[in-house]
Amino acid sequence: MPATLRIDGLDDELDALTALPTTLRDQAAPLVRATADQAEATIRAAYPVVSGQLRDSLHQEVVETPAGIKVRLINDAPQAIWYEYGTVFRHTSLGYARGRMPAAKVFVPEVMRDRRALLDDLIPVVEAEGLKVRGQ
Amino acid sequence: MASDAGAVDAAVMAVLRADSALMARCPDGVFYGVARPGAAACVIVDRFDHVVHANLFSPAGDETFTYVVTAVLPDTDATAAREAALRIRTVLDGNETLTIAGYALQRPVREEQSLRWPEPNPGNIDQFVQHWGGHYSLDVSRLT
Repeated sequence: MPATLRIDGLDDELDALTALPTTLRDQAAPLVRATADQAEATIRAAYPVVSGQLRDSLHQEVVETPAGIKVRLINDAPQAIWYEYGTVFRHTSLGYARGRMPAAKVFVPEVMRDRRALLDDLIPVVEAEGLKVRGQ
Repeated sequence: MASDAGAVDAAVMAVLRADSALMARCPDGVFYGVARPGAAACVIVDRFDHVVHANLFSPAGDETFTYVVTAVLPDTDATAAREAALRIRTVLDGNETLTIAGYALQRPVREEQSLRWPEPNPGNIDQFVQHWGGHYSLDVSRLT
């Protein structure tokens, strides 16, 4: 006589597993957006205002897929990179020294701090879905 | 004496200075934060982040230092800066033998991202500088 093993409920498990990336994205999205907003606000407040271009050129670019969300914080002002990393000693064409701009270290350290905090916030979200996080 | 974060800065600079191929490309030397006046072809090392992580056994279980390391070369052509940046990567990325007074390196040094930007001088169109390098992170633990 043939034996049959029947397991009920696997379809539901499979559906839940398939939906997991989207579920996690939906739960993570507010945290990711809040972190980006926090970083943007802090950096904006730290920028000096001369023409206002440096501060006004700071913006976010959001990329959302079914399995994830990415927020890029961008400053596309030409002087943003010089402000962040500093400049070399400059001289006029007549040889007069015009000094250098020291690295302000505003954007990069803030983003690194906020990214670390975001990681700490995301771990409980992932663990709440039954996944384990190690080696972070 | 307790571990000194400056020892990590010094170790990174020392390993760069010890590389003759890099020094041939950047003969004016390796500087922290700002080059000396007159230095034209050099390497700049600057610490952008230092975080101390606690664990169950210590408030300073391990630490992560992130440096911006760039070759700075005066030219409108970036070829030499690119070669110097590749040399910086060769020296630092994956380095697992870096010796740091008072610290142990926990993982090989890693390049987090590459960096490149040209710097024109608005006051002198003949002065044009190339910056090329990257963000490098070190995970270390204190020995004392």
